[in-house]
Amino acid sequence: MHPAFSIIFFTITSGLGYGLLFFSGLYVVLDRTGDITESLFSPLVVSSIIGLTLVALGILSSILHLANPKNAWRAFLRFRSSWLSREGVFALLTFPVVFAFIYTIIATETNSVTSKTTAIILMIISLLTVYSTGMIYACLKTIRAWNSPLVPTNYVLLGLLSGALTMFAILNYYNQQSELLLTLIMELLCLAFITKAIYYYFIGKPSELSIKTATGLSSRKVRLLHTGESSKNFLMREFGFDISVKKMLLLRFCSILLMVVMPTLCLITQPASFHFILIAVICNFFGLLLERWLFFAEAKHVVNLYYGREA
Amino acid sequence: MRLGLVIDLDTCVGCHACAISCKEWNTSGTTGSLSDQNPYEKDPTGVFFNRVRSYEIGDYPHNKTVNFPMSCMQCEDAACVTVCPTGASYKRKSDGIVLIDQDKCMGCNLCAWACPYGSRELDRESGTMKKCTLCVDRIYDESLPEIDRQPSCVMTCPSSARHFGDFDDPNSNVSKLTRERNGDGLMNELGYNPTNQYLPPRLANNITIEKKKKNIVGQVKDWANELISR
Repeated sequence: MHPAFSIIFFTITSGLGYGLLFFSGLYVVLDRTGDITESLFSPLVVSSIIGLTLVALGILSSILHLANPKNAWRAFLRFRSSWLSREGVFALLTFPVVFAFIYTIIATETNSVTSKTTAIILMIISLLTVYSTGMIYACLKTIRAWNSPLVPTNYVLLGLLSGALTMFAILNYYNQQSELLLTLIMELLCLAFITKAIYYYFIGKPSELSIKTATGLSSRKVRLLHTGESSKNFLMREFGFDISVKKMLLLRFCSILLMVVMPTLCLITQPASFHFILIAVICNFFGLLLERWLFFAEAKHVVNLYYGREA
Repeated sequence: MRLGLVIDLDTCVGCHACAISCKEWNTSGTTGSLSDQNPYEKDPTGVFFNRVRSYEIGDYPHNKTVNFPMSCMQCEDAACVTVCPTGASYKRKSDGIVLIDQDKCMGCNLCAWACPYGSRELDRESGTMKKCTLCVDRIYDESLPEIDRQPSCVMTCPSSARHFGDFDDPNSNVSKLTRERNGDGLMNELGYNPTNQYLPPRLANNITIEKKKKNIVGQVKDWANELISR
């Protein structure tokens, strides 16, 4: 599949934004004493605002991808059948929820029922939106590398991971240390690495589909004689993207290095300085960029079979 | 009604007339225009509802060229309609034709990703997705003589490799052809239940190359030549 930068940027920033919102909510939910208001007031407000800004940037970027953006508002209309529509509705619902969340932590005690309920709603809607983003791709039976529950799992885990790292950086900026968040980050780093490894194993399996099954001319040898085109058409541009195995392996290595290994190294010595945490966040972001680029570049659409290529 | 096409892979000669006639009709039809980019320059490209590819099956001397026209299969369980977030893509209950409302499409490409047959193409000029309409603006047009109320590609095919009809009617020409010639849909394993059916190419008789019997002198010569060449 052609890796479009607008979609790559959209999935990463919105994943990061929702991760941040999820952990902002988690802090309020886990707070029992109510004295969190004193020390955590500003970092929580800042993290929710940054989270919401990233979500908004992601949505803007996804609109840039549309060929006919004036009809973008219609994308909310098919909630019952389309994952893209569901993603849009959840993304839109996030805005009032975040405003309510910020209002409750400013105006009420964080251990009040109102603020906890709002925080739980915020956490649920964050997870739902990222899950829906993953399902947009996972529901396509035409792309074998995407049609798997591993895809939404990866989206959610990587969104949470990048959100947790950024949350850790914000807390550190306000001189707050959080053992709990650090443990969660380490666990997420492990989980993200393991599911990504399983995903790479899954897409490495040879495909059962071939030019024979696609054309139904299964009895004998089938090969493409002529595409019938004098230059690239829409299908070739959209689905005909190809990378060499060597380049792919190198990029996979770099993405895992930046996304998982570098943050682990930055955070392994505690207490980590703000600069180290910032490096971890930045490395993770660029690792994600590579990971998402590969997610598109490695996926092969079945239309390729008709052009004598693999799928 | 379940309207669709039967495509005869045995008789298609790969002339691309269906693709051209389709473009000619539909560029001024309900989903027109079908824009072209650089039509007279180095890399011409544009929207087509029909694409014809050619394959070779088997090895010489038992080989055969199979020309393979593909357009929208008007699937029973059309994934392109399910994934559409705007409701621009829809399948008509009355005749099963899958259409795109050009006023609602936002050009997100998701339906083209969901289609395994490559039958949806984005028009760069209008920014909307376009696809075969089964000439919906023609097959119901009562101002045309009845014989002309067929899709443009079917009308134009010089080798009668394309047939149009109702698959729900067991006595229609398309149902009969599919039955008699073991027609089948493409990529049934994906579960989209394509309506269009493809008739497999008939197995051609092998062309036998008879060896002419030579007289005794000729046989000796051949034997000598073989001996030397060893």
